[in-house]
Amino acid sequence: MSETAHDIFALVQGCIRRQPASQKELVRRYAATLLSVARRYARNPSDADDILQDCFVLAFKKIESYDPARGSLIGWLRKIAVNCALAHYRNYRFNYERAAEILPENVDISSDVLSKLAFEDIMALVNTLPDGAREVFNMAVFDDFSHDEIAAALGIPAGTSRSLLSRGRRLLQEKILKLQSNELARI
Amino acid sequence: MNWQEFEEQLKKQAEGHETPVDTEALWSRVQTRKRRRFVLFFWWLLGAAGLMGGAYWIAARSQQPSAVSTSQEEIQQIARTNVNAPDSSSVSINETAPVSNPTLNVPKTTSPKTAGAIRTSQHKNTPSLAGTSPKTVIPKDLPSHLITDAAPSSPQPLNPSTPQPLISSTPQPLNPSTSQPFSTPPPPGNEAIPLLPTYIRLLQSPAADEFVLPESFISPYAPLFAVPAKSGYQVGIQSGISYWNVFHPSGPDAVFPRANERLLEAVHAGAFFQKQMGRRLIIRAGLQYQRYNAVFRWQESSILANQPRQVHNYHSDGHVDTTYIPSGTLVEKTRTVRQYNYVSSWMLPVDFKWRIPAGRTTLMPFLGVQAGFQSQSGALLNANGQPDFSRYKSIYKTLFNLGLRTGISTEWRINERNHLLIEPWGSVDLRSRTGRFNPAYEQFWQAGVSVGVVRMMSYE
Repeated sequence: MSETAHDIFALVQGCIRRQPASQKELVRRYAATLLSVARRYARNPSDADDILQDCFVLAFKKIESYDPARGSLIGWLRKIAVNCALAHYRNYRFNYERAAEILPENVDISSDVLSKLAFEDIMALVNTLPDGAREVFNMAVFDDFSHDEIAAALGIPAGTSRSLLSRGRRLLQEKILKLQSNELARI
Repeated sequence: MNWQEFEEQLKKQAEGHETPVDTEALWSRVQTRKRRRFVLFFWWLLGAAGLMGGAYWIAARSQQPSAVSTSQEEIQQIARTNVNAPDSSSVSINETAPVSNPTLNVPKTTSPKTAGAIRTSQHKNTPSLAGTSPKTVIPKDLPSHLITDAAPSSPQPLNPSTPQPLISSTPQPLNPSTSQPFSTPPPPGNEAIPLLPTYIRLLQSPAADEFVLPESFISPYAPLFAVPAKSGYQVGIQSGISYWNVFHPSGPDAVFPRANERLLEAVHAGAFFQKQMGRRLIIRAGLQYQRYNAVFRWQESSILANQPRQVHNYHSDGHVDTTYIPSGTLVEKTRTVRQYNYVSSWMLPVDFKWRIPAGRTTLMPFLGVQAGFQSQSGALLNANGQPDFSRYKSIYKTLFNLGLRTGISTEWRINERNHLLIEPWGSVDLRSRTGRFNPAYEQFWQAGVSVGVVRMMSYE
């Protein structure tokens, strides 16, 4: 079903009026996408389910504050999902130490190799990144957060966010290369 | 491949990726969570009601100890009053007692009339207990049969530890100023006791348990809640102006950029009632309406970045169309922020005031909370960047909010019943107007002054 602005407007209006049918339609329409977002941040599938629930409960509560002029509904929901995921692990104290990392300009991975990898495999690799680097990598690469926004959300300096992103990149590259060499060895 | 390409390719693969999910099961779990939130709210409401009920109960209960814990002076006043009262005949005189050792033979159980009088005076908290009792009159027409023959040379102070003949042959003036402390234990049995009216003796006798609460029963909060003899409730109306703005704890994308901050006006009006809960403590509750002036000037950052802007226009009939504002055409415009065009609120403030009387003027610093609803509505921009008031159906939200209040009420007594109220105050909202995860985190604060009239409605 194509999503016209009118459809979304009607859906949002229904949710504002707390109509269960509209709320259920919102869940039906966006749950799969948001679960995908939640799983990128969650440490296990059970946590991802909890984050998804939190996300919808909060979205229904805050639906009045959705401003269509500022972005799409799915974009707004994705931001809520990310923030719910961060809130879910807020009690964990990540080691956000600032480590200056200098990365080479280019990645030693060809686009062919990357395109052959299934997204699930990539996500499995991303999920093996250490805490902190994983959140920053997810937020910066997949969810379009700026470093300032990441810094505000995680309560860390923007410089730390940059260095964590660099570390995430480097580690991910190493893991992909390792995977690639294993595949070649198997052949 | 450079990092940007690498990440874009990753992002491309992530876009549109969906993880299969059982939406029915998810929906049922979400509904359960929603119900749980409602139940939590219900319990919160019940707890708040219980707290208020408890406070009222303490206040109501503390009135009783305040009456019972009458000071010695008050007991003396009761004594004097009752001696002079017509029913003082309830003090029976043992006329068969030897003249040389006259005593007042007070019965263990007093007459119903006297007991009733005691009970009434203890429980009704009448003005007579609170210091406005009838003037003390020393009985001049003391019956002659109460007078003994033994005549001491001079008036002696009464000493409870060494029982004295109550009444000597020479009439002794009953000098209240020389009365002994009533806390002194009474002599055992029905032996001679100092000059104590029946009910005072009752207070000291085992039979008095019926009437007197021990000190330990008196609430430690009694002084706080003890209602003065002359208290009632007051109603008032007030109106005024305030200035308001928002805090910016965070938010690079704040709706109100710092550069454009300025104080904004708001007007308010309301009615309230207040009740004195103690000598100093006053509780006030009311209803207040506020209307905020909320037109802002700011620079639209996305337009400054030369990005074309897409604006969805939602018509009241449900029709939606889109306006594209070309890049660079708008640099700085007066724009009405949608959610803040018209902000009005209905709030229920509850304040606790501390009364400091100073002549005709009474100063009452207060702390309080306010809860209520704010409605926010606004207008969308048309293609010229001007607000179009015909299209704002979708931009409407109602928000429950909590806030803290403080200020100083100054009441100036015009006459017995009417007071003029001048009240500088400030408040801060505990909740952001913009959603939990909105980068623009905004809490309203206000400072204003109210002027009104307070009228005393009843005396208890």
